[in-house]
Amino acid sequence: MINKILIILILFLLAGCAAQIPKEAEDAFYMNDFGKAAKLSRPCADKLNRNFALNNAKLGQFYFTGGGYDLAFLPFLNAGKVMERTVTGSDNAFWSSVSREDFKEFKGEPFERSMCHWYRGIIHYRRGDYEKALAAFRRGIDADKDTMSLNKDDTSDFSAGYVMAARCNYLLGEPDTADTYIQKSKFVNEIEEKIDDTDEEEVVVNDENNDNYENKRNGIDSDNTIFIVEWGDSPLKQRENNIKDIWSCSAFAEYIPRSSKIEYAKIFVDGNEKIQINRCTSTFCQLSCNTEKTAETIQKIKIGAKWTVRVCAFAGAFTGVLIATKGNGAAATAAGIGAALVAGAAVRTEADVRVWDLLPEDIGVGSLDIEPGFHNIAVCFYSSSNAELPEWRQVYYYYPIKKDDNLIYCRTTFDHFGKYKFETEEVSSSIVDSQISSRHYLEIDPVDEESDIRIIPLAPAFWKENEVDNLTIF
Amino acid sequence: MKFLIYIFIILICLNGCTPPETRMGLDDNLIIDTDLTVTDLKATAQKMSRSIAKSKISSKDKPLRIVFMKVENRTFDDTFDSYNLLSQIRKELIASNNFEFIDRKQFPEIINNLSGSDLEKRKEIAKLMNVDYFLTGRAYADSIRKGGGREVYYRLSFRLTDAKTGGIVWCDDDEYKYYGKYEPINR
Repeated sequence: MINKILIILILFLLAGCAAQIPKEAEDAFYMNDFGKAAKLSRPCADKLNRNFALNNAKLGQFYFTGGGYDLAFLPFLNAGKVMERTVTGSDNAFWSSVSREDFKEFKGEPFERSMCHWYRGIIHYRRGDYEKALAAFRRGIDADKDTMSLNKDDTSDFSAGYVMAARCNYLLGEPDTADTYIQKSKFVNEIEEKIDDTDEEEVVVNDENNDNYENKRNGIDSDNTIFIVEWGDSPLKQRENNIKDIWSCSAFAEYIPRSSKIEYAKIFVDGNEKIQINRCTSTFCQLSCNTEKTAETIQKIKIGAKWTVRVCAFAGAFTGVLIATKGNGAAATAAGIGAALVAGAAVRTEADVRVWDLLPEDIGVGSLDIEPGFHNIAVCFYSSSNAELPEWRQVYYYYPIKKDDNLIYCRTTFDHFGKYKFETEEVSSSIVDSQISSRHYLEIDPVDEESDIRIIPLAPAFWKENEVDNLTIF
Repeated sequence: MKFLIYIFIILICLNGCTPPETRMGLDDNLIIDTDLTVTDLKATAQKMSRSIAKSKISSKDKPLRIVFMKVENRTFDDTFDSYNLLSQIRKELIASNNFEFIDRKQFPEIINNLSGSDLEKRKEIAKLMNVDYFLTGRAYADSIRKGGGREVYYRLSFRLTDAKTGGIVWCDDDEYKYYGKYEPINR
């Protein structure tokens, strides 16, 4: 009998072996060392196990944030496919019903699924393939429909997805559909205030004609530059009340926000303040407002079943040992209690706390019409008291703005080790040279050898095979 | 010793649980999500080609010259392979001996990106290449999610546009509906 119990325990252990992205990789990500992060996480992401989707989502993000858009596509696609798959692909799924919840295949919360598609949409958009981008953004919206935060079963509140889907529709010549997305988006309720002096008149017009679609579009249809700004860190997930004791009933999980100081961003073009970018989508709201009732009921049933199994295992092991030792003496009773405790401990009820915690806290989307040519573009971040947070400022010197369409993506997450993605002060070439030599940025050939202009791709050009989109010229 | 043998047997059984690769029938599907399957696309291609072949434009005097345009992707699938769908329709139509397809590689790149409103350019190209019809399509999907389930409706529509007049001379569509729900174990 003891042997059988041991065998069952070994099976539990076997079922529990599925590596996740190591913490060192996440630390490297927060320190801008995207190469190290990807290198450390790739072996995990390649393995087909129950964490496949989570590992691939994180690997995709390492590539994406480092500008490796082509490299990021496949991991995001893999993760999205598994998350959207309605059947389970993990042989361990059964064990999640009688033991640890995280034995099941990771499929993420609706918003995590959305973000997989969101990043894929951005990749397609950057390539100029608006049709595929639209498909990915629509899927992102669709994946988030379960959240019910708007008290409507079939409505997503992923407003950033709506805005980008609308943008794609406008570019594809389908303004009617685009207007529908704009209407659905909460973005229209937080119309960014055009604060440039020259636009004051336009702001007034917008307020007076609030019902006019032309104004509700807010430039998303006609402006030549889209800004996607992501800041902060998405919430962590932990067992309710942070209970780690395996004997407890901590079967439910809760999200712990990691609020940053940043409240909104402003875009400066050539030193002139142009637009304010407000929060369009908040990951904390998205993740914590999943009020899907059926899932909650199923969770409760599962917990009931697990406790039944636990009690049976406890009693069975105790009785089994007593029978095996014929109940002789105190030693046999102690062995029985010991076996019961081990068997009971094997049946665990903890909640699944796996989460894609590398996501941003907030996503903001804005648009601006900028004259084609090279411009210095600064993204500045502000606190709720409207004070600038200079440590977050990101400056793109001589950013090449094309006539038709530009997408400027900006992510700030890197405060964990006191290091930031870009320097805050006006830089001289010697300072930047020293920074670049100490980091992994790559230099490319100068655009014009006759002048002193030199292009240095910053983080987004970390992966060689991609066209740079963030440039610094001296 | 017995204990070790038990473990050994169990481990062998665990390894043996993985089924070997098996050959499947072309029309058999392993449905794991609510995306269109290869079988759906094949069935649509056959239906469309039959519909074109039976239409009034089908002539036995001389083969009609058709050019592929694109199938607009308005599904949720950014990896949707519309070219594969069109090439299947082409295969079926060529087999009927009434149609001739012009290799798209012979066309300037611009034709691949022409929208419906670029009629004049189309006419110009049609005249140049002696084209009778343009074949275009649209794959559309919409979905409803409720209670963990997802219902997806697909409509694959195609049309033939007269290269000289711009008039639509044939159109047909095919519809599919899928319903998927996460297994309770995954909720």
